Amino acid sequence: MIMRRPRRARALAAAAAYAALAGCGIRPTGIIGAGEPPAAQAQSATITVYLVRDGRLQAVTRPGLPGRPYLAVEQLAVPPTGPERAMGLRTEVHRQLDAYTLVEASDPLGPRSQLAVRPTGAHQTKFWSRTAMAQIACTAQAIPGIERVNLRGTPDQDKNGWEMVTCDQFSDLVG
Amino acid sequence: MTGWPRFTGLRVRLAAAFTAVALLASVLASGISYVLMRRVMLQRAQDAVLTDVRNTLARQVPVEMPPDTEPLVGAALEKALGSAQGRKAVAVPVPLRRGESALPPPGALDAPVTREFARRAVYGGEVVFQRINAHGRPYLLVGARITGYRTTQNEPWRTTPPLVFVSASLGREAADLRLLTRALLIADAAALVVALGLALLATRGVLRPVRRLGTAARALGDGRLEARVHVRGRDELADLARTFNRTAEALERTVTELSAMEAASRRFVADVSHELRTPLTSMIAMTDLLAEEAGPAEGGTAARLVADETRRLGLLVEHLIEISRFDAGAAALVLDDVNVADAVNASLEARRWQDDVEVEGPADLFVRLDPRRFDVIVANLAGNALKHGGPPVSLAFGPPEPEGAGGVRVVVADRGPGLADDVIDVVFDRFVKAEAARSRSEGSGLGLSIARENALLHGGTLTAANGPEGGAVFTLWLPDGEEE
Repeated sequence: MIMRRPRRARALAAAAAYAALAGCGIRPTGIIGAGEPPAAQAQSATITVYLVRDGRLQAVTRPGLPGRPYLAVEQLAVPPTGPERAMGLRTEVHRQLDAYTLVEASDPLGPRSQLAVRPTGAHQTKFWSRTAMAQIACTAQAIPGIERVNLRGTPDQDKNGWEMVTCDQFSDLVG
Repeated sequence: MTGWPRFTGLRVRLAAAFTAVALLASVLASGISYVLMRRVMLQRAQDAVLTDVRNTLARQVPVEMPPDTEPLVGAALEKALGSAQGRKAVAVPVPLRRGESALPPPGALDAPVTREFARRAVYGGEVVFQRINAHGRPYLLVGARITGYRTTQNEPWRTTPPLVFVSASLGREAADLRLLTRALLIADAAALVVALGLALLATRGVLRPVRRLGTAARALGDGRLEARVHVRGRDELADLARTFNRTAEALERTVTELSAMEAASRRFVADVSHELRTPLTSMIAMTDLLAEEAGPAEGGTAARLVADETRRLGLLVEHLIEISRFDAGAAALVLDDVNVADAVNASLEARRWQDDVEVEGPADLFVRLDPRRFDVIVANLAGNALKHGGPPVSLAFGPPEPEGAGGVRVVVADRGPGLADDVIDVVFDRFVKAEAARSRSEGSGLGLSIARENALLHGGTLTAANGPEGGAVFTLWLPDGEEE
């Protein structure tokens, strides 16, 4: 009985000290909910993508992405969506594409009128089919401000390895 | 007043209690403010991260996604969310097909994402967060999935926006909290010091009257009856001081009255004794003459009895006069260099006791003392032994036990029955008689009192005890008188 009181007091003091020390600093928590998830709000203009049906080009619209003006060209390499496939649409472009504008100060038509399109992965020598070239050219020209496509990997390659194509060259496929 | 009582004293206890209360209050206040500050700080940091995550998701994710653009959206989200300092973000496809996991690749974030956290982030229907300590550093982990998007029925995985996990370092908040802790500790220490100082000041103010009261009480105890306390204020201590003063006044009055009465009665005894002395002297002479004239005849016995009693009365009066001189403080020492052996012998011879007392001691011991008072002491001790103790009576004198102590030590012993235990302590009191039955003894009952008063007047001692072989032993010690 005589021993218990100081021992209890000591235990109490130790507990208080522990609580004081443990209470300091940033303590971990469990998983806490923080309310409703955010709703998607980004709006972007739709893009026009030229797909192929029975050897002819067919324009379809897809939603765009903010901050990606040349997404339409990149989308050519993506397999058509379910509804598109149901309509008999497919794509002849089977390689990932990179698209970017070439700034040509000397061009009288302005710096942004030309879109460079390259297959992803540098030195591939596989050529585009005519249909694929038509898809690329027409899709690119559907982007506002783009009038020509500087395309690498064309069959009649000149020494630069690229060719300038426009949708007009494939007017027989359009419509 | 040594150091020990000061540490358990009232002042220390009061100051300790005061300080403890102040410290408790200060610690409590700082603890509460710490907890509140931390809550606010963390809440703000968490809200900032969560708001950022929500806003970025809402801004970056389109309502309808083009097919297979989940990595693009994810990369944009990672870039937007992970650009802030201390933050890392990773976008993970929502697991829609069997066997897919929503766990981000390990190491992509600063804090590990648990399976349960990922599960709640995907299926919980809300933004989730968790504070985690990873590698000893605190992080906030947020998991969020967006709603309100449109996807296709048969290929939802192609157009479902990704899930994002964000880890945000709470290092700045931790540093701020450490700063706050240090500031609070310093503040508490300062509060402790100030509280201690204030406590000491306050207790000094409270305890000063107590100390004054104590001093006055000690003075009163030492006999300075005029000691009073200065009363100030209207609190309990002032009340106590007033009570003390009243008590001291009453005590002083009573003691003064008592001593006046005692002085009066002593003076009365002295006066009566003086008045009785002269007629008694002539009465002694007369009764002696009458007893002589009557001779051994029939009437002679009565006459002798009267003469004896008258002489005893004279002795009593002499003793009373002697005692009243001591009481009046009128007794003075007349010191002289005395040969102790001569003085003892002269004293015994004058009373014709030289044959009844065995004297033992050096013949050449000289001590400076009052010869008349020494004679009185020796006579009273020897007379007491002869009258009340049994023979043989011995008187031994010599230098005192510790060598060079000076003075003389005289031991008078008899072989009588000795002193009863209850008598030893009071044997020197006035009119104490060892044998109650023998109330009409020859002694005055003042002899030993006078002997002791004389010893004390010399600055010596006179003690009574029983010898190892029975009989009373009276030990006198007289110091060597100071040379004037």
